Amino acid sequence: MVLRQMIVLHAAFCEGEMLLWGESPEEPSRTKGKRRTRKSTTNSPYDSGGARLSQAVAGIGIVFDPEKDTRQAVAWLPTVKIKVFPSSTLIADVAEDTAEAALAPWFVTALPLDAGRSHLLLAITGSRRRQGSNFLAPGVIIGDDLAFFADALWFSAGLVIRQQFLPDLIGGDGQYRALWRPAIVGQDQDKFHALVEAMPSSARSLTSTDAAPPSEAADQSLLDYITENVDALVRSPEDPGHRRPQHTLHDKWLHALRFGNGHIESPDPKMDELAHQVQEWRRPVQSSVDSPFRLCFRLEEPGDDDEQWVVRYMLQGARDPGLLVPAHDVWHGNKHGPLARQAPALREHLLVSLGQAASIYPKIENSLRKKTPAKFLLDTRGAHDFLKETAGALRQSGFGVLLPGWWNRAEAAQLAIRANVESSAQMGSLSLESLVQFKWEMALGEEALSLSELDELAKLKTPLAKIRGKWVEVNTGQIQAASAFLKRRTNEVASLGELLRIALGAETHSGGPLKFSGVTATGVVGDFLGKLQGKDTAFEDLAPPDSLEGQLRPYQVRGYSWLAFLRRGRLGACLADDMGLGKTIQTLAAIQLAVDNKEKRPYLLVCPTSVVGNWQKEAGRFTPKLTVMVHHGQGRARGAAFVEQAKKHNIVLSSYSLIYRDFDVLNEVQWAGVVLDEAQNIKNPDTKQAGAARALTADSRIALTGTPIENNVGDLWSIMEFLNPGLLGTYSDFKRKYFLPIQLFADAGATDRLRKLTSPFILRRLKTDKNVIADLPEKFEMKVFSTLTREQAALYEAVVKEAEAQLLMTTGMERRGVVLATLMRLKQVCNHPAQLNKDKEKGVANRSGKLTRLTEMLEEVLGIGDRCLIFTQFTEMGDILKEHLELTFGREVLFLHGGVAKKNRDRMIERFSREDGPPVFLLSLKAGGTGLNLTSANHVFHFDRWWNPAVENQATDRAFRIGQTRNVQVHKFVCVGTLEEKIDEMIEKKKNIAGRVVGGAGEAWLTELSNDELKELFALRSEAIGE
Amino acid sequence: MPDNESEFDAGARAPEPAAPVSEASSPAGAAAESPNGRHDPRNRRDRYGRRDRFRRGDRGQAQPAQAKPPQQGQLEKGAAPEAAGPPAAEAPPRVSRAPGGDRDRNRGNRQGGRGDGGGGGFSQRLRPTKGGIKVQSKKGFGESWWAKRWISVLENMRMGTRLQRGRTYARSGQVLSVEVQKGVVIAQVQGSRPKPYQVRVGVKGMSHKEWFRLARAVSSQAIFAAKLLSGEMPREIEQAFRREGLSLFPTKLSDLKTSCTCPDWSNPCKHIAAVYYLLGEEFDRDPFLIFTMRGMTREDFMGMLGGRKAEAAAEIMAEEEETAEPEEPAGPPGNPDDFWARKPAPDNLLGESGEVQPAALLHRVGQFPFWRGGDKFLETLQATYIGASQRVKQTISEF
Repeated sequence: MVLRQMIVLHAAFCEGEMLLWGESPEEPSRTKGKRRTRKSTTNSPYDSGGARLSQAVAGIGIVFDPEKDTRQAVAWLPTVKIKVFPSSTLIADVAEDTAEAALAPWFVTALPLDAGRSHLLLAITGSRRRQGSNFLAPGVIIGDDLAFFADALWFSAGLVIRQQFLPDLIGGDGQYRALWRPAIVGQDQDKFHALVEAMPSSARSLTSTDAAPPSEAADQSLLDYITENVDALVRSPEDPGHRRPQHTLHDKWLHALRFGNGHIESPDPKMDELAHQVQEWRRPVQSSVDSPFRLCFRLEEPGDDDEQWVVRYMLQGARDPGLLVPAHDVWHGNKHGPLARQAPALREHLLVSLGQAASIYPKIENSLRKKTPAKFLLDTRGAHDFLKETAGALRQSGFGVLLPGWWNRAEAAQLAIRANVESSAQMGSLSLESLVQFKWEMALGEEALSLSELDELAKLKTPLAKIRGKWVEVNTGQIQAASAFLKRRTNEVASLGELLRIALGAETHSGGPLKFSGVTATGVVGDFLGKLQGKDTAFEDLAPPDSLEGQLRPYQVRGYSWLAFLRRGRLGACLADDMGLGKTIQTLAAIQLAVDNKEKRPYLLVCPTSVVGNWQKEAGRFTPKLTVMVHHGQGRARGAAFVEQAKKHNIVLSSYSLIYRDFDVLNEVQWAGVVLDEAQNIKNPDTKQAGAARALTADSRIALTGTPIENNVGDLWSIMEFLNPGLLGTYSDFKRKYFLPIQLFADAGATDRLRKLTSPFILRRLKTDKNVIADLPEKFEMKVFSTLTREQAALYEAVVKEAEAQLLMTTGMERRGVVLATLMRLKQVCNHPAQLNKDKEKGVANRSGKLTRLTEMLEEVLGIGDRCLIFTQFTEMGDILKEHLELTFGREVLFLHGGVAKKNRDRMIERFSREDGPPVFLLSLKAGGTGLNLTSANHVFHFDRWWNPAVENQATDRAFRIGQTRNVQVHKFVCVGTLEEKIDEMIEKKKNIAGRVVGGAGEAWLTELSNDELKELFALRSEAIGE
Repeated sequence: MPDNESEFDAGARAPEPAAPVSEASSPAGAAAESPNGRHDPRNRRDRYGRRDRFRRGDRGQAQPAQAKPPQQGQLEKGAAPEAAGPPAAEAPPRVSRAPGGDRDRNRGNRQGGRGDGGGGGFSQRLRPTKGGIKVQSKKGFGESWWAKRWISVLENMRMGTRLQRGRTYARSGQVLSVEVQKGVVIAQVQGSRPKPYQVRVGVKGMSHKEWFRLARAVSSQAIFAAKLLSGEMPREIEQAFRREGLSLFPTKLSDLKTSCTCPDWSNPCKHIAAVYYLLGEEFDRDPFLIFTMRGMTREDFMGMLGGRKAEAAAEIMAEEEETAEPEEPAGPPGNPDDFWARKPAPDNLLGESGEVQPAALLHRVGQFPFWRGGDKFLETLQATYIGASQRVKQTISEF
């Protein structure tokens, strides 16, 4: 195998130390001639060794000596006989039966990481994983154990931030350690146990010698690791410089807690006594850490005839929060229940916890005047205090708190100010600049409140009120402010844009104590806002433009109408449908509609270089009436000439790199709109192209993407800022209000607000959506048009030139040979220069338009968990693809070709059908074209073409056959401007008779063409070149 | 015994407010000291200091000073004496002054008659210690009401300047170790002699019957046990004692059993007072100390309350662990399918970011008993807590 540079990085926590090691594919030279036996521990065949380990992490700033700094460690790995199972089939595919596997020791080269290095590595690992990447660097794959430790470090950091730790002193016999020990209580316990469940075995499979396998339990190992983290994180990295003289053991302990590594060497036997004392001192906290139960308070609403709220005491299982034992049962518990034997200990625990909680809330203390306290009562005001203050304080102290469900949704039940717009049913066209008259009104949750109702509420003087059967929070101060506000301000005017921001929650605060809760509106404005938010009435479906060729599917009509609707409001739209649902045709239809409605100005359509050709083709196919100009490549128009030309077209196609480079001239044009295809290209707001995209002036904006951008909060700002400037505030606002709270603390409120704010502008349909599935054919074919790189174009022309010369000199069989050879070579060039030149060691990325496009598409396919088949005729191309895709995605790619033995072939098929199996299956058309059943794939790629629809269909049917439950998308790759496109056109024209003309004989019919016809066929058209 | 207080009334006399205790405000001997005198041992004077020097080497001490084998729970007894300051022979300047109260004068005269020859002039120096136990709080000797109650017993004893000396001792680290045993506290106090004195402080015990009655009264309300267990003395417990005709704290001198190996015949002497003050601070943290001093351990008392001993419960728990179903081997399993792969981690691993009480856990467990460090324990560590929290929060926001 060629993937020698690949490494899977592993981490294991071993005897208090973090060890980093790596797996790489076996080097052929090492296997040859050296048969290992399992009599004694030997080196793992997949051990990466110090040098590769060093290379892998050097890029992130961890530099070490591969020889001196590493050491030999023993990895206990699943092994059958003499074969060890690697972590990934990227390393090797072991066909042995997993049922017989047992742990056996193997030597690996390990790098011990101190806290600083391991935290750096894990922080970067965690950040890569949150970005959805499985790579630390190209070819450096993050092992699951490494990723796990990144999570565990994150958890440890949370403990330190929230100051959940307490000093300790451990050791004996002259060797001691001052230690910051985490105190994992309350909800942290739940998370800790979830982490234990998540921990891969490999995270604790290393030992220093091969004497015995690791024996520590997972929870203990994880706790030790977290303890080491917390200790290291709490210690100040700075040295104090000056040192206080250490006269006593107390001085020694305190100093060791603050500085250095905490180790204390002291022959003083009194140190043991001190350590014992420290345990005693820690006991109040340690006992709650160790307890299997925690005290929990449950607030219960008053019954119908009741005024009193009840807070009941319970013991809640620390490992199982669903286990609740009422205090009553603990005190009086029946003697035969499952907890009967623990009852005295439980009672003591309950007593201690109540004693601790008593100092937090006096009502608890009062309740303890009984022999067996089990609850306390609250009036409504008290219940409100409990909800607002006490519950949080109790939680922070590690107690459980259970509150009524409506409180957690309290945002909706607060008094808030709302804009009420009554507009007429017809008002002409609306834009964000339109001025709108409105009134302010007060609302509690959804209910509007009149002034008199407000005054009624104010008289109640309770902070919680039951309004129409629902409890809501009322705040006298707020009510008075609201009443004053309403009396002061009645009729107002604002732009629709301002109201929109209030409606979507971008504006949260009126400046006083009142919050905005949105906008209610009638008439056109209500209509507009309602449609925008997908409430009540939806925007109406528009008839597809007459000049649109081809049929829009029902969901496409929705998407197209939605684009048009937002355009009317001059709002930006992000169409984020799954790949294959036809973002292109929806966009083209929307543009056609605008043009039909007398839009004279051109649209600027920006896309990656690899799909310029595709857009051109699709526009020609679906909207032949639209004039398209390609602004791309060396010969593109510049300056005034460009502006002149652009004005004469409906669509100007350009690429991301050019919107920055040619920004000045592009911005000269009055654009009807700007469309960004594969808009994730501007997700990083600091890039030049993102800045240029935002700076372009246009009336309407559309972003197209197939990756679920709403899942990646960090990427959202740049795209939304392009679409609707100002909606999310400045980037630093956005980071503070949304990104950090969501990313660091999973803040549900911030997540909701952001979703509410952005969802009107994002339309994303999945293939699996019910109403989409119904619209989709079970199998649908798409051509994927890609361009050539300059290297490909040069090679292509060289091959053609050579062929032309040869054709003139040959006849008969010889000529046929030349034709077929040339065809073959041109196809190879279209596939990849390295396939023709056999120089893949020069690198394969960015040398082939097809490969670039395939990689982009697979990113989407794999991103949503789909699986695919890729067919090629060429084994060499299969090798190139396998290597490139594995390195790019860090997932194994199966490759079935003629040389694969039956046993292996069966195993590949079996593995591909497994849910956790490799998601990409490469097949050579000959080996895989028939007989197989691969219905777990729902995408089929034909990377190169057989020019015989029957053969291709047969291959496609590997996925599309009985057992397939999903729609199958077939992507046929074609290089524009090359013979591939021309043959494709010929086949399309003669589709009905194609089977007859070209059937069976493959490409032989091409040899019958005349020299001129061949010349025409081979000639490279100018649009072929993508650079 | 020199003095007897009348029955102490809980409410009648509030303990002294926790005002800073300074030499300057002390009733006697203060005028002769410089404002900074507290920090200069040579300015320290003890009217018995000189007599101490005369008696150096005298093995026939007034109080028995048994050598005890070290026991569990013992503090670092005598860890520092060898580090004591310059030998007493490098005599500090003697400062003559008038004798204090009547009893003291008598005492002084009598001592003088035993061969002092100093002519009524008393000089004193505080023998510096390294790493003695110092009161941590800047003000007072204990914050809680029960600690103040404890201190007030001592302060009502008309000890005159001995009380003040005792405070100074407690502040300057003259107490070298404190060991709490069931029924008695034994401490080493550095006086002006090189060899520390041994101080014993005990409180009159209670009979088993009395304890039992008390336990019955206390178990009628959960609050007593709950508060005591969580480190707080419930106020009502005094009433519970009184209803049984008992008293939780010593109320009169005869309730205390104190002794010191120093030559001062007065009891309590300043060494006893110093230990007493330090105990006040420890009461803050551990209200159970008063029970322990009266011969009742925490475990025994809880056992009486629960009607069943806590140890028994612990035994049952341990037993259950033993009889629990044999667990699977703790090491990782060998099946390669589960070996390498992880499951998804829980959400929100960092936890809520809201306001964090500074060093809440540290304050929950409180002061370290009889702290002997040069830096203040709680203040120093609280700074570490806050610093670490801020530093980590800052760091992770960069990733």
